[in-house]
Amino acid sequence: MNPDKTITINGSRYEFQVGETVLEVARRNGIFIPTLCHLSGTTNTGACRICVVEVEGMRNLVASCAMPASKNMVVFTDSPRVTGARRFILALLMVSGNHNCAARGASGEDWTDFQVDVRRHDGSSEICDAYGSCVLQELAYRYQAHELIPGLRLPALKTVYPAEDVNPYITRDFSRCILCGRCVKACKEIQVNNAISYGYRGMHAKIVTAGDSVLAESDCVFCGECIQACPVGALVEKDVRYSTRFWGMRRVPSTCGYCSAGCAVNIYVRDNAVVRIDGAPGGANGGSLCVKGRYGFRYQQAPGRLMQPLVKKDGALKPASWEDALAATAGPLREIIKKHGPDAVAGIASARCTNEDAYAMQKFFRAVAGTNNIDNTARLVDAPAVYALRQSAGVQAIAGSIADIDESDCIMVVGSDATTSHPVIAARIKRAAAIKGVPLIVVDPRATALAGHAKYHLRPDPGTDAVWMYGFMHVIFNEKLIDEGKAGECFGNIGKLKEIAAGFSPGHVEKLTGIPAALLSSAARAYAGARSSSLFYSTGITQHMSGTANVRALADLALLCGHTGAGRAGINPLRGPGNAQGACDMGCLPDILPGYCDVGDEAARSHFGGLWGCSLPGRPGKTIMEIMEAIEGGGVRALIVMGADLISCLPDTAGMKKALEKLELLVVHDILMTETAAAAGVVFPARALAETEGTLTSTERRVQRVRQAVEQRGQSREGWRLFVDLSRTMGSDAAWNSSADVFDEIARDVPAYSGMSHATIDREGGVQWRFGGAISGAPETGGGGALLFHAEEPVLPEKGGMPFSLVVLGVIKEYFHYTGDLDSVARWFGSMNPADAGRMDIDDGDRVKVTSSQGSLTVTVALDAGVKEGTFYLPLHPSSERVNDLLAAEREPASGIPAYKSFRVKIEKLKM
Amino acid sequence: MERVYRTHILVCAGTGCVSAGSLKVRDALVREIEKHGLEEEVMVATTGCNGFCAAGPIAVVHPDGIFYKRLNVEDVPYFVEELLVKGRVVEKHLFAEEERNELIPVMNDIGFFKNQVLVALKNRALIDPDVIDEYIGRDGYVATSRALTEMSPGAIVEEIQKSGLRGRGGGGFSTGLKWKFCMETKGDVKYILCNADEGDPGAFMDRYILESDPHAVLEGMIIGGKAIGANKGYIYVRAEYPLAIQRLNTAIAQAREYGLLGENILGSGFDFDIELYYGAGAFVCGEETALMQSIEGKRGMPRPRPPFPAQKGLWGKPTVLNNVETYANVPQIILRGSAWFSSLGTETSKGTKVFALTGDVNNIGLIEVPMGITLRKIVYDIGGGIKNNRELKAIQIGGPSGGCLPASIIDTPVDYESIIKTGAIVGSGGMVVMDDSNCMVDIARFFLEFTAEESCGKCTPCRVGTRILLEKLKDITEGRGKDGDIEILETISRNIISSSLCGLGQTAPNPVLTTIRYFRHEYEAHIYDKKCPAGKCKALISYIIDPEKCTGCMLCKRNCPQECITGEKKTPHVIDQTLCIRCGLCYESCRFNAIRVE
Repeated sequence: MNPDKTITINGSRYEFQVGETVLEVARRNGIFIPTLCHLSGTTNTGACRICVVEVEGMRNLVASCAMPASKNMVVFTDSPRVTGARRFILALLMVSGNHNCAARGASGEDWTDFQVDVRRHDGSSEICDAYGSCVLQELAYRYQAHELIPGLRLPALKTVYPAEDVNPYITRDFSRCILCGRCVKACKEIQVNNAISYGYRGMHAKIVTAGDSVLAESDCVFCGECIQACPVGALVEKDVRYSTRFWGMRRVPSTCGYCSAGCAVNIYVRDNAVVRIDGAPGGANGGSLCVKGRYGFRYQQAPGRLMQPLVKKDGALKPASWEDALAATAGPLREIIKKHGPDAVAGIASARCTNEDAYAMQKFFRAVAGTNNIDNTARLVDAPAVYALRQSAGVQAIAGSIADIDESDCIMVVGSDATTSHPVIAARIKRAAAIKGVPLIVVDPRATALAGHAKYHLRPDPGTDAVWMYGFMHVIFNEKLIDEGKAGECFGNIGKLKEIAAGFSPGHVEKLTGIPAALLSSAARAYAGARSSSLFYSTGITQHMSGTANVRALADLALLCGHTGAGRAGINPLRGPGNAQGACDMGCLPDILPGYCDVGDEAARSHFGGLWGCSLPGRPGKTIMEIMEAIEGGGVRALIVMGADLISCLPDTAGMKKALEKLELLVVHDILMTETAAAAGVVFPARALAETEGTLTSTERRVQRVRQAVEQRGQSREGWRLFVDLSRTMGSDAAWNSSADVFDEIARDVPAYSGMSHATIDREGGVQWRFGGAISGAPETGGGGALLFHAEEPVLPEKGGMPFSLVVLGVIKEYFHYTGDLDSVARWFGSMNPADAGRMDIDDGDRVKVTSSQGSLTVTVALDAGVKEGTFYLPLHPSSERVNDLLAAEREPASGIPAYKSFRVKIEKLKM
Repeated sequence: MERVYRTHILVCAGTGCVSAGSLKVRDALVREIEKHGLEEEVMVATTGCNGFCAAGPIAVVHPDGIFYKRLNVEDVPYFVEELLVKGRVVEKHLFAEEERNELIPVMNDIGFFKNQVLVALKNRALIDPDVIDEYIGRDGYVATSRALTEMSPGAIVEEIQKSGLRGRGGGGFSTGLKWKFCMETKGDVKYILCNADEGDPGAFMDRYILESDPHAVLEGMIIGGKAIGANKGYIYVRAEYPLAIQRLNTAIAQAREYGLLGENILGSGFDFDIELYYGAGAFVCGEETALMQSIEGKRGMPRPRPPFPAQKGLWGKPTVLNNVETYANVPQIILRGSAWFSSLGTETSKGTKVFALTGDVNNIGLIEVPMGITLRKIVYDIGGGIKNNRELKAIQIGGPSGGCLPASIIDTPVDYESIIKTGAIVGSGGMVVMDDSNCMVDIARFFLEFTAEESCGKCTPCRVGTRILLEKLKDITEGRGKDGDIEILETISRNIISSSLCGLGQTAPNPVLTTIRYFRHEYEAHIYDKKCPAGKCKALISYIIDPEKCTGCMLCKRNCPQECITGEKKTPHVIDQTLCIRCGLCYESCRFNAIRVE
């Protein structure tokens, strides 16, 4: 034991690490010290004082959570003075509010009056909602707090503030708040939303929002981190308050499927229904969640859930047995293949389905139907991420981990409204920027919430992304921010890159993009000069006609600065839907086999053919938009859609509807009667995520388990089961009996997944797949074995006579298709800059007509100074007026992504 | 060549005198003097606060140093006529010692002034605070020049340490030691802060110094900055002190103009500048960590120490925070030496202390006394005894963090250690003298009402504990006291002291504990006899008309807002106790002393 690093606790000596607190040393050695306000990973405020200990030589008791251990410190954690103080503090807290559990009133003669008072305040005859799961109650029993002064009781203090529940999610019961401040720390230091803080003073102290408004009118985003942090019954989920006690719930660990962050969750189940979800430690979220993950579960119980298969007869979908529905699918499918060849059938999977479902589906199409016409909806969001990087870095995923953000000394976020699309990852970025002071560069035309934390906010005009990226490179070359000679050794064509970059001086870039030259230069210096810069991008640069070129230019920039490769922060796509990464890993792509083997690669084909006992088609299949086009042209006649509502997400709604009508066979597997399902000949009921066993792969390649928490509704089946059934009906053998069986085959066939199984993931709680193994698709190489930059001349968007760039985006509470229960909170509106609006005499709340080359719609306008002049923002929304009506079915040639963010529109004010 | 005047009339322009009309008096004097054509011979000037606020508006006439009190515009012609034309002392405005009934013309012969020793207030009523030259004329900035050009940081720290100067904000921590810790902490950027967030009810020491001698504080900070290696200072001053802010701004601008702030001060190579930060009036922001949070733009709430500000203070940088009076002492120590300074005061408490002497004492005002002086000397020699010939009951010292000391220990010397032993603290300088009409339970309630409001609400013992103390004290003063309440008050007080996060909570129960300690019988009278011996607590008293003395004049009846006094003219009246709200109007209006309080 190092004598300079030992302290004595209760007579025994313990070694400490420099910077460790007395509490940490004690807990590490199994010595109990109670805490209330302490919240791991946040500032120790020493507020509640329950963790006080006696330190020899110090006049007063000290808070062990905030006291650093120091040489020869002598600490007593349970001396009579300490115990007395704890009992005192607990007694104070118990009388300070409506703590109507028995712990409070053990010696109280006013017990009945008190209960009546509390009942009046609560409007309920239930005892405190936190009863049995309350840290204060537990400690009050432990320390017998009522015996502070035997026989004498403290006066009960009246609660000053009424409870607040004018929002769908959180009840704030100030009568039970002990002002420990954990919620404030959770909000400020974990989620960095800064919605709440201490307000007022002394006996009037209260946790308040800015201006002490209700949560619904504040900066609160209802992530619920505060509820999870609250040790008492002051912050609770509104709909479980007084309806479900913690002991009446069963806990099922699982993974959230909304975005690709892959947050670990606990699902709480009562009476075969999900009643509550909270964040679990272990995933990339470290216990945090966002509003969707925490509250967006009621769709599982939606009244519109499909309960049994349906088959269209005489123009109407009629209930049928699984067998009949399978026969109604298999027969026509076989016929079409026989008559028109296997490429006349096609499949589209949702990027939210499990790996097992995605794998089974692509295998069915390749091995049973004999076609590569299989794609997934990640195509619509971030296909360029798969294709561009496959050629440059040789990988199709994040190189590092989300946790690497903590180690970066510069972070750049490009075209991603991450606080909306990936809130938990955004929280980590905000922590780095706001708390650790890491410089954050945000590139987005709009003043996003993340831009509020940015040191540099670059606002390019939509479609000019590659231009500013070359502007960065111009500054980097010009100011010699990198070792050009060394970079040249790795990259054969650095000269070409430099030549292109030379044409994009900051001044020129300013003219093309609207980004001030000085700002561009400073940001470039910050990015290039950092030891390790994390770079994130998302739909802001992928959903363009130049999507792949944008990602390539970004990759060139990262490679030039050496910010990629092992141990570097890398270039990281924030993949869209929950299993975008997994669906692609599984080979649910028309040109790529599982594990990113090229369909055209004969060796790979025969490898998989051997494993699957068949010969595989060599001609690459069609992407989603190509499938839709081929339907129109008569090339594709049968389509199976798993979990995707094509009509709501594809551009050119009218065209798409027409195409679906033209199909000889449309089969949809879904949980709800979507418009696409309504157009189908056969509909199979699918299971919701909470009814499913399987795995999802997050954007950081972490393979995690989803577990069946509740019984399935009706006759619904998982996707993999549908394809087993279908294979068998079509006369092929399918040997899987469980989701685990499917995963075992994935582990056998996909090198990155080798060694994994449901059981190992259960044990380890999520496993990141590793690069290497037998994945083909090595980076393109130039002469002498050197790598090559893409070095493509940026292409500027055409303006085409329409004055506004239309930007289509998701908004946190409406974005995801299945969250009908969250829609009530948000209204649908388009956003524009007040200056633009002023020129057109448009006021906040006016109705406008938005017209594109394709069509028009009307929408209410919200003026937002954060919107760049010349742009108009429309969120995707399951509302009557559909944004997709405005969009043409144009797609980017390289990756097939529809160019959702490349359209021009004109805006006209509607007369009242 | 500067003009030489035969007479200087120095009119006090402290907040007290200004609000009593001293500036109008000054203008009237100037006009009257011009009328007599004496403007070449007589100079009228304004000065910082004289300190004897009870006597304002004040003027001191030099070269004789004659003290004139309670001047008013109407008397100015007479005053000028008598003083300047006829050359007589104007008796009407001279100070009179009540007991001896004797006029005392010379300021320094007046007991209030005679017993004071001026260090921090050395320029009191002698200079115009808005004129830097007047400050320089009285050796101003000589200490700065010495410290910056002749002394190393170590030498400055050693000198301050040797002087024995202790923090005048109340804590009494060695200033030299504090500077030494910060000097020894490595760091490119350090800060030196001045705490001018004076929050004790009735205290005005800091305001006085800032208003009357702002350069002394600037100088102290410059010297401190050099000692610890800080190039930036902040003065955290209450926004409610507009005059102090105005004079500080003037002083800072003038110091910059003279090259005493800014880059390369006096060619020494030392850069230093000072900025003001306005506090919004939260008492807790006087606590050092809360004050720093406030300057950082956050809510002012104390945080646990360590780390101490000397290691991690403002914006995480090594920081020293001292109070206004402490800084005002610094130039004097550098100028006159640590040996001179430590010759004042006692063994462990060196130098002087400024107090705001208020309450039921004849001479209310600001005083500076050597450490070790007895309370008796302050109350009787300086304060001129108790008003209206009543009895001294208690002296409240140290504000809400201090305690109430009974008349029986009036010979206690005022030094850090002796006062701590009594259960109070020296504090920042609040001293309230109370006569026998004060109820000590009510006084404790008053202070707890203050701390329960001003607690920041962060830590449990302070937030809830003070509130329970307050509830209990209210119960007792309102007649709901019960057996055991004193024990509850004591237990809770002790626990609040030992487990609170910051100094506010750790001292908040002192008024309760000292009143219980010295006036327990008064608590007992409230609880068991349901009586308030001082007749203050309304719920425990009744007004009774003595039929023997009552003449039936009907004055009380007319004044009673409740109309609960009955009686015919010239017959004894009666108060209906069930309707009486104990407002005391009858008691005050009775000319025959016929109403008594029970």
